Amino acid sequence: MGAFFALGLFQGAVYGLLAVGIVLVYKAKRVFNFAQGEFGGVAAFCAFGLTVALGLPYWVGVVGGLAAAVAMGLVVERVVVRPLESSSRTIMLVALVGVALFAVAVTVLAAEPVPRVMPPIVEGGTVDILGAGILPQQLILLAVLAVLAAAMAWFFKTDLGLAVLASSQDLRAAQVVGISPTAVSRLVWGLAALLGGIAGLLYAPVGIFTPGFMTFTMLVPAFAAAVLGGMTSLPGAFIGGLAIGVVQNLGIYLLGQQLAVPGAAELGVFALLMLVLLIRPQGLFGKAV
Amino acid sequence: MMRAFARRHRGRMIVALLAATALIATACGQYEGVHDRFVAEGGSNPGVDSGGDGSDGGTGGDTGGTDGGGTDGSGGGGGGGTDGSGADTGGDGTVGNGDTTGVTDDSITIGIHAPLTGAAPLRQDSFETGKDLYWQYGNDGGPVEIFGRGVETVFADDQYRPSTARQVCQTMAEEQEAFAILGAGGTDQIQACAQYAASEGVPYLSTGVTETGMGSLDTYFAASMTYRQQAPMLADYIRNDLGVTDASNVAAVVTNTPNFDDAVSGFTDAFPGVEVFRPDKNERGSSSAGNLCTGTAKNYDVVFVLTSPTFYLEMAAAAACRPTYVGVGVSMGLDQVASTGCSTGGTEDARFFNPTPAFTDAGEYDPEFLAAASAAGIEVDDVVWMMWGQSKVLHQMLEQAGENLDRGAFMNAVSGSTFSTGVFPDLDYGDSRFGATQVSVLRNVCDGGGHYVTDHAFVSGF
Amino acid sequence: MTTATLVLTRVRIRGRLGLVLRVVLVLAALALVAYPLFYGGDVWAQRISRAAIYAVIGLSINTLTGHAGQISLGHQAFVGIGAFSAAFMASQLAAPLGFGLAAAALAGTVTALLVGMVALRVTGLYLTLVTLAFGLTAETTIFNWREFTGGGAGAFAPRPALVETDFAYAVLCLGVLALVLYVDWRLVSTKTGRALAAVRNNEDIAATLGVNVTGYKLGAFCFSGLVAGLAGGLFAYWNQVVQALDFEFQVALVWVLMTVVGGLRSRLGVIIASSFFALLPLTLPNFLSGLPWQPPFLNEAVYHVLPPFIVVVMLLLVLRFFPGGIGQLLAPVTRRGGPKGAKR
Repeated sequence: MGAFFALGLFQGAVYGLLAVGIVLVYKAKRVFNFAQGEFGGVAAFCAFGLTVALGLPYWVGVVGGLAAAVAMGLVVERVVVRPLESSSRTIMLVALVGVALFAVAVTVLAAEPVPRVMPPIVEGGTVDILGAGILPQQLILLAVLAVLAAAMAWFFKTDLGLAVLASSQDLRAAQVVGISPTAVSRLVWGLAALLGGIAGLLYAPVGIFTPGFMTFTMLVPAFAAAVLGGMTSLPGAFIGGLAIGVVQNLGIYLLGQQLAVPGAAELGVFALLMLVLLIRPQGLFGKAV
Repeated sequence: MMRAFARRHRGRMIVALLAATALIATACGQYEGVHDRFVAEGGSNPGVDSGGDGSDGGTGGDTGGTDGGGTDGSGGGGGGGTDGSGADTGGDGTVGNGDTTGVTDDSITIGIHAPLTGAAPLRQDSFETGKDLYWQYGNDGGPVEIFGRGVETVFADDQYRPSTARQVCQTMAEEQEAFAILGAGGTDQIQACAQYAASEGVPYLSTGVTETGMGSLDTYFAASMTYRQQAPMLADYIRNDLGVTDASNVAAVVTNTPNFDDAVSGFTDAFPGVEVFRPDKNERGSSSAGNLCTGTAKNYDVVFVLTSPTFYLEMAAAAACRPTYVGVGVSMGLDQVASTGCSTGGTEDARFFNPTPAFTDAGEYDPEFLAAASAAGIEVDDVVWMMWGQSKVLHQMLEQAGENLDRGAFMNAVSGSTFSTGVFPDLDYGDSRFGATQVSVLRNVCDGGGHYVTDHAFVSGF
Repeated sequence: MTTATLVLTRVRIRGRLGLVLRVVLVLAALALVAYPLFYGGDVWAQRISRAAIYAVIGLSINTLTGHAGQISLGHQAFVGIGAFSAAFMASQLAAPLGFGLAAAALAGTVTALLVGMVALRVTGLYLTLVTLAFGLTAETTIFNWREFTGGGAGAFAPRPALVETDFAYAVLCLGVLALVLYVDWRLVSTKTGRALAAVRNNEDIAATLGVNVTGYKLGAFCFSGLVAGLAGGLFAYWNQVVQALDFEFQVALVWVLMTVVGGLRSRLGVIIASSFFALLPLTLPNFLSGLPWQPPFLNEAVYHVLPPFIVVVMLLLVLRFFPGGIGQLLAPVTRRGGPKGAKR
């Protein structure tokens, strides 16, 4: 049981990392960013191509992967998000789903859908935590999550961050005081893509990765994490991510192994999501509306 | 207003239910007998049922007659009927059935299905280059000719889904007019396609997978040992070759499909007391890794794995312990799997039973393979090697069927015959459709990029 | 309400020419279906069945998203439950096809009712999350329940003798599509449709007008579930085998895309787009590899992974340049004035 708790905590780190990006976009644009996972997918595939396929040094892969993710973020902002600014949030959501599927389709076309392995940042055996074997990569992931969640929380206290918040609440008024909505929009999507890219680069070496690995398996728990944290709270995204990971793995242990319920991990996430939305819609750290 | 809507809504439902009832009324009657036999066969075998009626065989014959270049419309239809009754007597008694779909004076078309996407993806390039290698260059660097006919191939991605497999097999057999269909991997998909093939009288050849619902299919032939046949051998191998005799040190991780139940029971009968895990087909591997190495602090020495390669690789990568993996799955023996697995270090020294010896040793078992590859000027890999072997088996079968090739003649010629290719195991279809008794054992080595080497070639026991 | 009536009157006056055009259009569409159905053999009959099933699914999503303004990203759960119910009836209980389809529709309705009662308390974008998570849970939990769904091998749904041929089955699927189309049409052109429009445009205003917002939303959810379940039933008998992987959650995403590409609230647009999405993966690879000239950088295997790429590009183009979808393109010849009220 302790082992599953530890496994969940570290699995949850990647949900938290994605949730930080989701929260950032939601705070700034009131949009559910379904493309958040694919920023990571694209980054991972670019980094893999540079390091493993072309044999370049690891840091080149990291920089290249992150650059690709940010570029994708800016392109999405320019080509999809900004033209649809005035349409409904539902249409925007469908468009972002489209962006995610587009990125998956491109990766499938460019790189075959066979499983791949990305070398980790730090080689080495597993560390025993509560009886679970944890890779050094996963320790790094959790540390980076903590740093980034804190950094983003701090960001929203800076003038720049306040400008982002202001433009999300009253675009006209923000423009009056000299905040360019275009610049803010670019900043938000670039940052979100960077966060997604980091998530992808850090998570890909933990196991096997295939096209769409971030979207098809990570995105729903990440959204649940963001909702659990209150959708606008960065500490909430951090805690929410870890909590979702733990719930998933305890679900696997208690329901899956003890009672042989299929799909226990997904069931746990769904139950928790419903519970939060029905009992405390503002989440753990959100403000009641 | 709500009440008004509710009433209206209920009205719609009533309309829908009425329509459904109308359908019931028309569908009653003819159905009962079909079901009885369906249940008797284990509840998973629609293809055989309809073939038994003779009505589906008739459809197949009609299709052959109309689409087959207008060769012989009435003969085709009648042939379908013959096929249906021939089916009941085990495929003997008739020489040919006139169903010459896919056969012209100078060519034979065959179809191949395999997953290119989904949880067990094979490399696209391998199929692109590999599917025609044998037929174009297998005859001392020149095209293979069977009584003056060359062989053309069509290919379809079954996406690792049984329903898609059935769909693409129908397209290949009826629209692209494939004379016979090859299944390259994926048990559930092979079963779904084989059942379709049997219902339409299309010859179907695959590597050996499950026996569930396959033994009674009139058009099916397994080109290597089934999992049911291999499982007890694997138990012996673990005991005698790997030296692990204590069942509590052995686990089996087998995908939760009824089609692997025969493999599981074969294995647990031969090795009682082994712990069995049955993950779902769409489950992620990482969640099962906890079962192996954590939780009850189990550290197994040997794990029998019969899942999709992706699942196996995820599990091996995520597992904190390092057991020796063994298995029987066809696609597990691919160098792609070994190479990916070696990147994580989890699969080193894994052993898999495979129809063919390792690709590394291809030159030793069939020098013509490398000659053909260099004649074609292509980069080959083990997927191509596997296809080469399977094509070679099919080639011998087509030779055996003689010059007046039709589906009935093919089936009759193959049943009861023996084939030997040196790439796939020797085959003897004297008693059943599962004609192989040999396997090769491949070992995953990680030196110089992960790949497999041949530990044993064509052995029948340990 | 007055506005709605006015709109209807205007349409009726202007509708003479439109009526003729629409009849021509429908006849052309029927001819387009009939030709391959009669001359394409079993393979094309199966393809038409698939197109009809997708169209029914598209109409189901259209009811929910187009008419009621709610979005579901877990629709594959309703279709899947319908499919496995039908297969269970057929293979385990030996029930005739009609019972199978009725069970499918019922299962879809009940599931939608249960999900809707909980999910509709959640509003806006959160509803998409709830449906998405539900779809994922259904796929991994319910659809992996081996006694019910046959596990990895899938559940078998043998067809009864009457619709055993692919041709007869295609006719059945087209019949169901026509039925759903008729019901959808009646639903929209009555008071219910106007109430749903009010709910869609502004729930608060609708409530002050005396519209039972929750009731209508739940009703739309249930009807959508019923149609989706029915489509699932047809899907089960289509290839006579269904498996959990047929209902992965990305399938639901693609279905939503296809409805949006067709144009919300445009029945004809939805049917065209659904058919296109249904047929593209089945026909494109063979079509391309049969072309006399092959692009040097592509090969036959790549064609198999091309369709998902194409449909997403279509979506992005549609959203960018004509947000009313195919329905908007058809607007000049159909009654509807393009993406009226599409914004929202």
